[in-house]
Amino acid sequence: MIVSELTRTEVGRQLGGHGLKVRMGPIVASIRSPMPVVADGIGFHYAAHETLDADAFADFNVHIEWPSGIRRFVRPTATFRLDETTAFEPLPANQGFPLLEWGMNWCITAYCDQYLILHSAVVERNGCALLLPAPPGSGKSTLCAALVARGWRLLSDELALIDIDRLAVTPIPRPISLKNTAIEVIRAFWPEAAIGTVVRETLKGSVAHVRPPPGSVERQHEIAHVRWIVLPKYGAEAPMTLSAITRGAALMRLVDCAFNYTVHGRRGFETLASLVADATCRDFRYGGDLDAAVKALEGLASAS
Amino acid sequence: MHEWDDELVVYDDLDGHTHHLAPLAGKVLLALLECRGGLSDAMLIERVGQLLAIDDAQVLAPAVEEALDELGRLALIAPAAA
Repeated sequence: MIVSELTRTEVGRQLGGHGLKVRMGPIVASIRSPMPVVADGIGFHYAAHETLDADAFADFNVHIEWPSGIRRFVRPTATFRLDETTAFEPLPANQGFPLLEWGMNWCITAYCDQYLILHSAVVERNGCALLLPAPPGSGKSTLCAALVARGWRLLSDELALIDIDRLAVTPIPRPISLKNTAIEVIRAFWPEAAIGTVVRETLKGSVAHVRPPPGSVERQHEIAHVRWIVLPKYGAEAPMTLSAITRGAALMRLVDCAFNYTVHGRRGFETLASLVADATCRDFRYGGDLDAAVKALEGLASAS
Repeated sequence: MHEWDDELVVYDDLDGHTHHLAPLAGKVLLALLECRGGLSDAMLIERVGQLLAIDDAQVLAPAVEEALDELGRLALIAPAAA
């Protein structure tokens, strides 16, 4: 069964009861929350994701909670909890769904050390993955959304899970997080995109999420081998350039973007070296013309 | 350690750091690794010269010295005990 097959009432009932179990790529999250914004967000953004029975195993038991007592009614907040651990400061209650997304990112980066995890968007076409590793603010989610709009399969907009044994990316298609001007940019570029509520005045500014295409979610068990590594950097007025970089430079970027590189030691190094050895590596500066940016990347994919 | 064209990327097992070496420093490290029993300055310069196809020791000597300093700063090499 998938989330969209549940009524809104049933989603709320499971969230408020034993937990709604949702499969996100290789992990299962059991989510509990009494908050309507969380139920609405999950119902909208995770519509195509599989739900599991109440007694199924969950990798993470997470809660998005109201404060206790009168604070629930006076400037209410939302708190993220993993089991008994409160991971973040409470946020305004209307940020409940973004908080869930940020909290899930934290769970995965903190605990999924069976993977080498990169701060990177990943999309796939014809069995080949395009890795877009970059620090925050580089425009990787915007590029990722634009590529998905053009038919690329979403593996992740934020976390590349590298399967060390298979040297491949394990998909974890979750909502694409857009911030500030990127929200309207994608709305204009991809009018059919299912974009959820814009939540304003978060720590990251205005935030909205794009629902992952059902096709990407249905194929979330299909790994992909990295064929292209593109290091994106957005600059509003920057001329677009797509230029070759050395494998050493690409490797160092992957090291910088890895959340748990030190956990894996030499094996992590050898894994990243193997990725760059087999990939076409490019530095990509792009500005306001998203259509041209996508065409440049599609040209790269066609040529190599 | 991985070498692509003129660049060398090294993983240091001792501290877990990864280093992207300048071409000359990479050749110096490779030369040192070839001769783990130790090398005199002259032998090192000669070997680096062979790797880079440069046979002017006077030109190479200060550059090799600088590369040794860099490798030392990165804790990839240490002077052999006298």
